[in-house]
Amino acid sequence: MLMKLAGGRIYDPANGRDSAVGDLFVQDGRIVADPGPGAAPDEVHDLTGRVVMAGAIDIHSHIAGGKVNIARLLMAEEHRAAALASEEPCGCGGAIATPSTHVTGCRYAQMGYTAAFEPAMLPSNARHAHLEMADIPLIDTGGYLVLGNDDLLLELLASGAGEEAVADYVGCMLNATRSLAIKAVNPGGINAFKYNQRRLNVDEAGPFHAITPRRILTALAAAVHRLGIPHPLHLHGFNLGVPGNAEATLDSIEAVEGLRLHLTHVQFHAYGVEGDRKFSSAAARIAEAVNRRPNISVDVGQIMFGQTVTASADTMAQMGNAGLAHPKKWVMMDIECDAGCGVVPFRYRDKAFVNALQWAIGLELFLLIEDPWRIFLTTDHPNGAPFTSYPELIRLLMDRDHRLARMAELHPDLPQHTILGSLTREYTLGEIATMTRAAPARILGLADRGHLGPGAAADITVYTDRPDRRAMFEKPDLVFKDGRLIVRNGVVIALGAGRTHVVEPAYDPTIEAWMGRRFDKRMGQRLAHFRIAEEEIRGGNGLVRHACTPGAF
Amino acid sequence: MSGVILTPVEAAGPPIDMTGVLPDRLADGGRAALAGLMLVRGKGRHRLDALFDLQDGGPAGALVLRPGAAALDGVGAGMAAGEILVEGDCGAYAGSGMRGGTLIVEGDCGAFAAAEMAGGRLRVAGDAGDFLGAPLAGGTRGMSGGAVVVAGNAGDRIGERMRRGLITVHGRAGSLCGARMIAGTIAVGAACGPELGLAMRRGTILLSQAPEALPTGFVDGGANDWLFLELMRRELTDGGAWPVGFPTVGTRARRLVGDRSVQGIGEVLILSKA
Repeated sequence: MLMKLAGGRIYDPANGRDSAVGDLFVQDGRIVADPGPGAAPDEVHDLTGRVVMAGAIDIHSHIAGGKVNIARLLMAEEHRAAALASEEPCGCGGAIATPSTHVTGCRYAQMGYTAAFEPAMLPSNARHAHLEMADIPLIDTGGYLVLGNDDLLLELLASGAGEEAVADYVGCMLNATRSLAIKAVNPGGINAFKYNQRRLNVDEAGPFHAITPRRILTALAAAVHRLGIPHPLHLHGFNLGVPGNAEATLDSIEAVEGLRLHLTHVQFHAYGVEGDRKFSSAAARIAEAVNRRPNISVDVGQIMFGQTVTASADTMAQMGNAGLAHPKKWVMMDIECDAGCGVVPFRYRDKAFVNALQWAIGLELFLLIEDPWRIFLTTDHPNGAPFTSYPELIRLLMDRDHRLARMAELHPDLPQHTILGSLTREYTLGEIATMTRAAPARILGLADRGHLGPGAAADITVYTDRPDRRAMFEKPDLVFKDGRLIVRNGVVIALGAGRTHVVEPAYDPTIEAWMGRRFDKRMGQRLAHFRIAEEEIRGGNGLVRHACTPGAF
Repeated sequence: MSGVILTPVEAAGPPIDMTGVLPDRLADGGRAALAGLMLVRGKGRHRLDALFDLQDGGPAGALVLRPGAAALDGVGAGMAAGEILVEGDCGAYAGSGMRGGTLIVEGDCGAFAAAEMAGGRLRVAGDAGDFLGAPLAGGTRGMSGGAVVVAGNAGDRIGERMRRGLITVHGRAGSLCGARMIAGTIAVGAACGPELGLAMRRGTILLSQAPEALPTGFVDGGANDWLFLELMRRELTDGGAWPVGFPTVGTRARRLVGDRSVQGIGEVLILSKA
């Protein structure tokens, strides 16, 4: 079946189109070249004057896996409040900060998103995470594997293993868990927490294995490079939320020595210690460093005000926050010695100085980092805010008057502590399209997503160009997933399954003998059972492999 | 103006969620407002008058439910004023989050009856299930006011994380009665299950039979005369909340204090037979 999307204003930064009026043709779920005047489309949508973009891609959103489910259990009252969400095809599930799988997929699709990636899949939780991701309707997913505190890697490094052995181990783990990328969460820190340490500096040897975080970080970044994984090492840095942590963030940028590195939720890692409150914005310094180094990319992890829940593998940081829990309940646990899990409900208050400054720091980062190909729109859902706040965030970026008006409502001391008021930049629609579509696809290595050129998957979102950008991005007119219309006027009209994106880097399998012995001795399951079979992902239907090119990145 | 009698049209089927079916609604909008309420039953949403037959009857302004074999969940949930009379059994969540008014159940109640109740009265002529006066799932506080009287037995974890108010069970209570209790009063007429008052901080549990063993974390303060028991007996007897197994005279009681493992200074009073 041939479908024609006629006359829309196309924002497709990957193919150099910025508000270019033109037609798109879709056949069998893919965008195809103009078939010429002789072709008769079976279906035509007149999009004159509308804004057409690829489906948006969220590169960092906690939507599946162990801690997400624990957060759902902990926040049971959220689910009780809306037992039956609506009469739509997905008339079930509920909650905002901890949405059920169905609600996750439907809300993303309603905002024009067609993919979201779970950024913290613990090895031992991978099977569960995949089952949950398969249960999320409408959107594509994939997981980033958390390494860096797992006992096997630390032992490997302590034994003096070379770069090659580490890469083999990482490659084996990526294949076994069907992951898309590697994430490191406070490398070494979570392990140190288990020996009762409450902080660990970048160059401080951790307990037991006596490895420094710097060593773990560089080893993983090198392994990613060696295996040719498209996405750079996805780093949740050091001392999350601690004033003065900007030093450690700048240290991390230096530590990788020119290798590619993605700093995630960098807002939480951009704090200084100036001012009488010993808490200040270091956004300008971080932004300057990022602007200078093309090997670095970031996502922001913007906070938005209201009730949410923070869920992280970083038990060291989360234990420090447990006293701030609102409502007063939290969960802190180890998971199979792979990493940790800390779930702390939290309410960001606009009248609280610290929260207001966090909000401003996030926006400063957005506005000071110049290249929209290297900064991504995230709230670290649900840690900074639920992903449903993206439309409001886009409005804050695109509309300076709105930004200033909002700022005036916050804590009265805020203006003296932020340069936000003096920043005049307003994001353009083209930059938003880059940041939420083209750039995420490129940095994840998804060659056929995030753009509207021939051959791309027909994940397309159509908006009406409204001056109120929040209203515009909250309610797209049309959303197509693989060429199928799934949302009309912000309402889901059809359900369907997404796909799971993975990489399968080549590695030397002789490492498996060593790993197998360690698994037998220490882990809850054997290596053979730990490995997830292809048929286990969406019943063998919907696995998408992306190419790894060793040394290319 | 009389009240309204609601009788399910079709008893068989999934439970009907009665949340929102309250005397307020009748007072504000009359029968039409009541009939137009949308209720959840299983996977579907239905108008109230599609699920129930409505007839005039009962006390003025009151709702009378005749569930028969149908399961009704959330009866009187969040009620602020007025009266609901259930001529039969309730499902789960009867009177949960109640703030005022009276809910009378002539049969049994399921789990989470009076959970997170803040005021009003719940009377159950039959038995009550688990989590009577406890927090709802995800909640951090149990009952914070009001009075509950159960003529039969109650299940496990009654009065868990309770903060204020009164729970009287004329019959037996299950395990973990008054667990993590913060304050308030629980009276149990017959035997209590294991783990009585576990991690209790403050509050009072009245019993007429000593537990088989001293509950973990409690210390025995011995028997004494407590004059306030006389006042309490009068007050509760008037409200039908003095358990039938309790002595009708005398102020002597043995006092256990705990749970000391959480620095608790709650008390379990075991009333002496006169």
